[in-house]
Amino acid sequence: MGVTSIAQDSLTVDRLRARLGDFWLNDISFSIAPGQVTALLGHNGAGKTTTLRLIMGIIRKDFGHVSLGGFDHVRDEKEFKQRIGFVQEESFFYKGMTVRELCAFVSPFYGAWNKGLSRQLLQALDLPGDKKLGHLSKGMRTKVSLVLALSHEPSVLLLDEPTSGLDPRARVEILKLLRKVTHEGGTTVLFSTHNLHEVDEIADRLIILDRGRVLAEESLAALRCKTGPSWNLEHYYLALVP
Amino acid sequence: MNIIHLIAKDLRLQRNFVLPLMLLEVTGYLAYALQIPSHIPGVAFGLLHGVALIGDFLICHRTMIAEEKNRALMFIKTLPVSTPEIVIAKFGVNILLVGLNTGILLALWGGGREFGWIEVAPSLTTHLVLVGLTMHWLNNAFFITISLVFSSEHAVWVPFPALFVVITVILNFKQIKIVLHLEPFVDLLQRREALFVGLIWAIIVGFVVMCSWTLKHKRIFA
Repeated sequence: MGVTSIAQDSLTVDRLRARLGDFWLNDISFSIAPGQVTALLGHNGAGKTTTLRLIMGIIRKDFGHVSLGGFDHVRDEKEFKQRIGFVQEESFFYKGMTVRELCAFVSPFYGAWNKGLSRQLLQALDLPGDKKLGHLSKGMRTKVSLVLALSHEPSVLLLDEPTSGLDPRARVEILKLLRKVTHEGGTTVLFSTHNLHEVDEIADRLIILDRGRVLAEESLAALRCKTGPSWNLEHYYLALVP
Repeated sequence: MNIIHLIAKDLRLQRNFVLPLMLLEVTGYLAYALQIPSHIPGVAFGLLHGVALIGDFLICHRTMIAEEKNRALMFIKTLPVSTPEIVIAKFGVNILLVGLNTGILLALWGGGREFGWIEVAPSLTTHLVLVGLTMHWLNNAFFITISLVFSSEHAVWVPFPALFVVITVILNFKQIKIVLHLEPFVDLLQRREALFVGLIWAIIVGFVVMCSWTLKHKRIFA
């Protein structure tokens, strides 16, 4: 399975601000270098999903800028999304469609859709093309989301808790695939998670959100270096976000 | 091209619904129309449009529920598609399905007269076909607008009873025209078919623009 990336662009989020009811997301800023894997951490309600949805334009921002390779996420919406693959925590698909029909529906929207790669991914993830999406388990639907997000060979992959609620086998398969796309394809990844073990396993950097603010933004290698052999992500995280 | 792909997706999703709906409408209409005495002109034709009006509503409801039930607009929004394209495609698929639905009923009317099943007036003219189709597109566009603006197919049920008012107006239009002194206006629109059709299309385009603007400025899309 040859996963390649179409471009090496960095994702920049600058002073992103939005209000959702009584929840405020305040001046979220970060930049992710090409090929870097960044984990978005935080308690429930910290603003992880909101941040990802704001980047994708599903939620309207009040202020701020998001750009990828010079393309603004609102002004150049289509060009921006051509370069991004997004996996939502819940897969909102047409349940009456089969996996193959969904791929056939999504493929024409992407100029760089790779049919061969899509077929390979379906096979590698053991997804039945003729099965209706409504009959798939949550893990299978997440895998379908991943196939859709990767088949146009995006330069950036956004994942909202991709392994939450999955059985260990599906979780391992998804992490294996993520490692492959980042190491072999050089894809930039931003993923939200509650699983610190996963962060330690695949991330290069972490961003910790708390009550709609960025609390910390660190390189894991630098943290490990600073702390030495006593390094423990759980202790570090809990010390920051009590 | 994106609009065409979105329309094709909706047509694929609705393929198992459209045929049974049309069969039901045709048989339901025939069951009533054939019992209407031929000396009451226009009633059978009014009834035909009444059936088509309910068809317009059901088509809108079905195409919107496909998104609502699956929260699929949220998924569509993650694709490289603009909000106006999503809205135009939704109106586009409805225009196609309503055109087909009304077209079949009008063809039934024309065929019925031709073969002598239905003896009452009016005979089918280009004017009647054009005006009939346009009115059904407007009716359907109104329901789509409600549904998109309020992001819920449930919202379309709120103005649903208004359909019966519209059906009553169609059935009694001759009397209403006299009572409300609308004859000069109706005559003008009848003489200037293009003006009438243009006016209705301007309203439909207005609905499309309003939906695009509303969805673009909503806090959460879908």
